[in-house]
Amino acid sequence: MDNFEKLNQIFRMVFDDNEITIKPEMTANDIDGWDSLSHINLIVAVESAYGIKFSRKDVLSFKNIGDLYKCLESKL
Amino acid sequence: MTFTSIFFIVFLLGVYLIFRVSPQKYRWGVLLIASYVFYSTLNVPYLILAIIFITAATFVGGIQISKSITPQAKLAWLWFGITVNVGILVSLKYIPFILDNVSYFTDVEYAFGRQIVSIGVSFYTFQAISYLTDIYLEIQEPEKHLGRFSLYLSFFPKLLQGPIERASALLPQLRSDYHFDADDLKTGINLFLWGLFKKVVIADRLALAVDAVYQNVHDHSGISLVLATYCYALQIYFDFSGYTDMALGIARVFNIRLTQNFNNPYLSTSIADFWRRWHISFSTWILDYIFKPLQFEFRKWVRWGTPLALIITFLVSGVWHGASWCFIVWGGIHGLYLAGSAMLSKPLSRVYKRFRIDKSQTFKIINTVITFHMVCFAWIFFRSKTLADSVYIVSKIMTVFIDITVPKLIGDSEHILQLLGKQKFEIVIILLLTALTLLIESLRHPVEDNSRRIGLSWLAKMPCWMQGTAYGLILYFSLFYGVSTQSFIYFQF
Repeated sequence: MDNFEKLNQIFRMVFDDNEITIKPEMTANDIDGWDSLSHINLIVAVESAYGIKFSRKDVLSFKNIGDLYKCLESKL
Repeated sequence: MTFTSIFFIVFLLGVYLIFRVSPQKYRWGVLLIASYVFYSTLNVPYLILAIIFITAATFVGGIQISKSITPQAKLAWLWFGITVNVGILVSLKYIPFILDNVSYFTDVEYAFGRQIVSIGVSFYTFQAISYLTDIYLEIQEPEKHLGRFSLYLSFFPKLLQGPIERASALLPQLRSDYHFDADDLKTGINLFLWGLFKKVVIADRLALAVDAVYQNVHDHSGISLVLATYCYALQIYFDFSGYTDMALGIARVFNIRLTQNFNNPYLSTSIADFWRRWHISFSTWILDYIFKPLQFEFRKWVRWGTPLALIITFLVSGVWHGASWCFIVWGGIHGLYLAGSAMLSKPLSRVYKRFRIDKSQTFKIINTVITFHMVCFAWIFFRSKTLADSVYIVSKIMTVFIDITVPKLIGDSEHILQLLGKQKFEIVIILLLTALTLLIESLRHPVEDNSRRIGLSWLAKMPCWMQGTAYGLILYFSLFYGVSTQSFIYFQF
């Protein structure tokens, strides 16, 4: 399973929906339940799954899933 | 000079004419001079100094953040900009409050500071902070043209009460050329008239009833306090959204689209939903620049991190609205509402799904009614003169529900009718107009489709005679039923 597929699994787990198929250009508006409150659950889940730490600047500048994935790959 | 004065209409006409005859490359200059003239009519010279200083510090800060090479230097410039902005905001807005509290504990009276006026400062400092932060986050390029940047901070339709515009939304519009567009002009005038009507006919009429009760809360029964609180909820909505419509309308005349601030907030089905529909430019600001960084820092506390971040964010929101304990308690109440719903949302949504009520219309209506009352409860603190008054109102309202009897209700109603005296007929008209306006507002297009959400745009599709009658009625009510003595509520923030 590549990293993008693994990220997709994390999305499915965090937002409790096995139908989710992520794409780089997708944003919170495209996924049910992804709002400003639940966003942090996604960040924490990604951090623990990959054993990485995002900085505040990283997290605040994500505009879509592509940005999150790029930042994630740069830390692996 | 407020939007509702004749003087402003003359000023606006003058600016529009000069703007139209000026060459394209100087049009930003016309709007900038107009904005500074508009601000200077408040007759508070240090406010002009404050905006010039904030503009200069933020302009330099933005360029330096982008130019700096090391992350430490970028961060240092960001903090420089934020400190200047917050420093000026605090000095102008909070000195009287700080001195009052110091006097209370030291028994020394400070006359200094009571006369300080800070109209507009909280709006453009917040705009400046978002500009600097976005450059730091590399989601915004710094503006290199000092004139256009000054206009971004000071553009007169949104200078005194917002909307708090993001650089990414407003700067590109200020850079692009103006081309006459009859639709924009018509829409701008529509929005301005609609906002004027909401402000002078509805909000200011309701204000008379609200003020009568809230000035002397001890003279009133529980029922009048309940009614006055409902009226205040409507007043503040019509006042602020009326102002916003006027601001959007004025900007639209110059082909500039400002952010929509309201989306039928009293139809919200939860407090979180309310904050997505009420003062949207402010709520998204505190979400992005206070809540998100705090939530990120607090993520190590798993369950408690988000609720704590919400409470702190809304306490800051209370302080932003004004230096008084009433606003702080108002913010705290909203923080507690949201923290509670963040903690309970998962278990509750499971229960709703289990009983299959999550999609029921009745359940939605019940939630809307409950949310409206929760918002009204918090408004009591927002409107009261002192915290002691708010506590008195809440306790008095409680007794209405605990100690309710038919003779008492009849007695109270008679008392209210007596108070209204000859104004009964007028009150009925105003309540009908309020209901009609709320209905028209709720029929408007949702906020997501900003291009179509344009005040009375629905009127444009009607036959000519109907358009004429509608405008005639709006003007008639604004001129003859308007109350022009009230200033806008959000001026004080």
